Amino acid sequence: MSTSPQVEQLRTRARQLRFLSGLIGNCRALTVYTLAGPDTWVGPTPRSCSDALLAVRRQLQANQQSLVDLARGLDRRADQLEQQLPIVKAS
Amino acid sequence: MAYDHRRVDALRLGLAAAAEELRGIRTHDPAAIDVMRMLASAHRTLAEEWLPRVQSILDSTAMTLCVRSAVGVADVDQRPAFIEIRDPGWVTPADQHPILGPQVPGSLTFDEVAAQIRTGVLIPMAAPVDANGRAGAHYTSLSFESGGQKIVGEQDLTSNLLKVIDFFSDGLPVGWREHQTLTIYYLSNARVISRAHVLNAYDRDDGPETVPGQTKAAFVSGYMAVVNEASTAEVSFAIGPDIQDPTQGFAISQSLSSYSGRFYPDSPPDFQPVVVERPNVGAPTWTFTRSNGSLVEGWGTWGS
Repeated sequence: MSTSPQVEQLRTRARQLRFLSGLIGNCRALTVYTLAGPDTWVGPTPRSCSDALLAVRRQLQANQQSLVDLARGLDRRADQLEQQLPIVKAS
Repeated sequence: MAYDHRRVDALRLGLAAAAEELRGIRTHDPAAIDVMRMLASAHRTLAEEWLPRVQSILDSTAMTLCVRSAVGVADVDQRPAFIEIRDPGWVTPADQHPILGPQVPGSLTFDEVAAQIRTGVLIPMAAPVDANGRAGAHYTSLSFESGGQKIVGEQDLTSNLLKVIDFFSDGLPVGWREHQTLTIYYLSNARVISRAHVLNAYDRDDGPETVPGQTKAAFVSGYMAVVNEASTAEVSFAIGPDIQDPTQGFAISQSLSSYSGRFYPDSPPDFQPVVVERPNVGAPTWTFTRSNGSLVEGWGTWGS
């Protein structure tokens, strides 16, 4: 099945975004909060640190999902373009 | 704050590695601009905010090179950390009102005790029973044995007139010296014995007989206020005629001493019957009655 450059570009971008999402998903920033628990240190500052690292974790997970959604959107547009291509060629 | 040095070092390495990974995640896709902005924010949180703080804790020598202010005295500022290490669930806030709370027993000053006696804050122990001078009537005595006692303070109650008389007594053939001293003690777990007696004739040196079966004892702590009075009458005689040296003579003097006082317990005493009196017990420090002052040599009067 032949594809237009535009469709190919959309699929490449989607792959890159999924790869990026995978990088974020495997990043140590997601698990570093486990090193800052009460076994490591106790007090107001440690609690603040733990809270901050958990916030970073939530932020990265949201970003990860956001990238997946973006990639899915690009794939959908690519699919739509591919479906329109035979019609354009026939006309 | 308390921490495990090894684990904090692991946290430092983890933060550095995570920050480095975040820094390496890049894309030029315009759809991911917001994501990249958030990644940059997360990187700043790890690399610029928390990594330096953790590093400064590891670089600090406060917890490893602590020098005590005095030998054998733990530093107060270390206590919260020790408590947190022992039980992290404990809350150790600074005491906002450290002067409140129950008074430490025996910590009042002389003036504070005197003021609290005057104002009625300190309540005296129940007075001994008075025979009111009736022969054959019962009365009681309170004997305080010397326990752990300390002197809170002393005050000279001698009047100025008596001081003047004392001064002139030095140069006159007839003299009178009288002194009154208020001493406040704090007794700690002192034994007090309540004995019953019958007011009748007795040997002043041996004291009255004790009514058997009515002796009670208790251990008490509190303030003892005692006024000691000492008086001396002196008469000097010169020897021979025309003696210029006043020391060339002899003097006759008679001294009297007595005391009165009250005891102000920290808590009401719990008197228990004494079945068998302890033998070979030394003379008590104070024995108080209310019957005609000092009935016995060495006894004092309750009240002042």
